[in-house]
Amino acid sequence: MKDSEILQRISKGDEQVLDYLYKKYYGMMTRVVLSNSGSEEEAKDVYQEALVAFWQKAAKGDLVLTSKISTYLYSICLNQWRKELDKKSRRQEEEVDEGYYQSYESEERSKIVHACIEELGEVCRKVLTHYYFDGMNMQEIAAKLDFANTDTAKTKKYKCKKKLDQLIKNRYSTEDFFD
Amino acid sequence: MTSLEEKIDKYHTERMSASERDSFEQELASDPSIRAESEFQESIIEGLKDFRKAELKNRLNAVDLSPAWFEFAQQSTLMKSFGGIAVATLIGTGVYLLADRSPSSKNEDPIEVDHPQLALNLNLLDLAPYNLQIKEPGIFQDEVTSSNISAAVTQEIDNENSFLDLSETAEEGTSFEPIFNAPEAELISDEEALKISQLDVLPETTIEEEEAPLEVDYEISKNLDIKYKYYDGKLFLSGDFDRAPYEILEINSAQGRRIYVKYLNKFYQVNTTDRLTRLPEVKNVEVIKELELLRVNK
Repeated sequence: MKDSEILQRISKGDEQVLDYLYKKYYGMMTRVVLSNSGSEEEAKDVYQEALVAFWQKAAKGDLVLTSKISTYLYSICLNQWRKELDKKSRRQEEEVDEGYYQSYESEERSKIVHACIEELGEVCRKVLTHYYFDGMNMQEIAAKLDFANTDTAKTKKYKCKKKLDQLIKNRYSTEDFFD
Repeated sequence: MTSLEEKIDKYHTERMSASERDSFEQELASDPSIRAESEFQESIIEGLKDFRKAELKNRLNAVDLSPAWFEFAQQSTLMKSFGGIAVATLIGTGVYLLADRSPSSKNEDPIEVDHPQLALNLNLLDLAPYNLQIKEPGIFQDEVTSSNISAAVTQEIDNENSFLDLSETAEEGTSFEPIFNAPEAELISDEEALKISQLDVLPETTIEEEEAPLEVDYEISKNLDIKYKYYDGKLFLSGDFDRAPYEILEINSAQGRRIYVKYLNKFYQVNTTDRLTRLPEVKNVEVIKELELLRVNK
């Protein structure tokens, strides 16, 4: 599959391309981490992060490739692993500080949001995640989810977002949420 | 969507122009209630992004990374050559076996053809089994002329398996005319002759009128209940699959597609739903027996 075809298919939300890329470059990308004192699990995490970041950019149409996809992915993996090694060395030097409690709090918050997203129906989840993560516009969402037209997608997105806001607000008042 | 909601949404999804952005940031700085709402919306949007990211990573975790044999074969010229030879051998053997296949497994002495011109493919019609021997004794010993071929054709029919009596002897001195042992039309219609072995009859439920292939995705969860969603030909499973592998039984019949999951010696039935639902266990003993049978014979 050519790079141009890959980008075109990603812009249409074809997730099978993601599987294809993952399998195709798994060995090459994980080697970046494995050969730089990383474990198999860390290598997999780094590669998955890189590939998902690539997917998001390509799906949004933000990506202007000046190299091959493999080169691009390789550079993301390399940077990602450098950052990770940096974090690791800092973690060893510093003791657990306030940052730990802050991240715990934000983790709790995201758990609440996550639970409420789970409560939404599948269609709502797809509409909202395609809009907010994949950066799809209403026309693309309508095509991807077989809606009659763009207006249907717009209405659906509005209602789904309202529903999610309400679910989260019902569970925790906004004040509690940010206490 | 109200103007404020719309603004917050556009702001956090980077769908604002530079001037819109500047003016909204001023509003944020001056109004704490707008700031609070914006932060609340930001958390939700971040949550949605994380959710989607996790969904995509789950998908990647389910990708089978073991190289398929054909990919391995593509990696080296030697493997390509080897693959080519192997495929050619397989095709050759397959054709040979098919061509040489006896119409009946009971037929130990299937077809003997002594005359080269009679080397016909007797397997063209896979109908009732029969034995046929055609002998033409004089043809290789004597001087042969095209106008006068001394031929004696005898055909022996295995009475147990045949429905045709083709025993005939060609008269001496007549030009040789090969007798084709094609069954006669009226005999073909004989129900007995056309009876197909029961082993060849597939149960009705396994008629494969293929729909789009079933797409299965799963996540490992510590929850002992298996949950699932099934819609659009996609099956998503969530459960503690660390303990044993699960099996998917897909039955396509005239009534449509039925899907069962077998896990830890229990069968579960999959129905169409887009909500994460607990997988219902099959309790009907007869259905379980039938599923086991299908599973073993698939």
